[in-house]
Amino acid sequence: MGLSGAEFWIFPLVVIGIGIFFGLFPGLILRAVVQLYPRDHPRREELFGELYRAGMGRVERFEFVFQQFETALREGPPMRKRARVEQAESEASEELDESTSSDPPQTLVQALEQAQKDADAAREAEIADRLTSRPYLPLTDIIDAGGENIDETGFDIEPPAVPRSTRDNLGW
Amino acid sequence: MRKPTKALIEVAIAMMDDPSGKHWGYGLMKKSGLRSGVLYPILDRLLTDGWVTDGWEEPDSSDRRRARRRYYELTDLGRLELGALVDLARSGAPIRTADLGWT
Repeated sequence: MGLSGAEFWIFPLVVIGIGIFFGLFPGLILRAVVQLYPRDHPRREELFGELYRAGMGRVERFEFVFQQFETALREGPPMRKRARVEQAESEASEELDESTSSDPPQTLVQALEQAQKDADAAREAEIADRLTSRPYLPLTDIIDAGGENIDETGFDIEPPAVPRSTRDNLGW
Repeated sequence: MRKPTKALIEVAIAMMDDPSGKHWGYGLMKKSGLRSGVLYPILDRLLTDGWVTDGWEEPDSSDRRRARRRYYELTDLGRLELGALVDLARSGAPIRTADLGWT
């Protein structure tokens, strides 16, 4: 089956077109090619430096740019993927650091201290919430509590220094 | 496992031609006869292993608009390792991966 006149000329015309494009606009092509590398990757600038400083002829430059296309296809996408993964990992790590403000407890004593601090913080938060939402306890709460550890403002006060059992033993 | 390929030996021979000089990517391509798609990954590996260091050429005053060139220099370790590799290759002895420490 023979080729018609137009079909016969398509292939050589495409080859010549590519040759002209790569040969006349090597910088433009290379600029597009290096976009395959991650942002700020040194290879981007390195390839440009090689293109214009190596004293290449036009044919060599064409060949060089064509080779860089292959190089960028081979190296660029894996590098971009790796850079994305590293960025995602660093962001996740930062979020984790922000959520855990303090180091985890190392011993049982530290764990108990940490639990006590957490309980104190929760209690303070509850008191603050009470202050803003309901400054005074209702009278029924004071009666239910038997009036102990609650001052006239309705807030909790510090418990007595001597435990109840000791007071009972002393006959108070 | 990374093997001492013919390409690596070609790079080693090209760099050991001037062990204390600066080497540029295009120059190494010409000397070694390797394509850039093969050469640059090898150079990256040599950088990672500390066999070469890299730097950027200062631009000439007349050529400030031109992009800077990146150069590669052999370190002492690189001179030792690549020199040994070149000697092995020239002696015709079989080269094992362990010879390079690339396991």
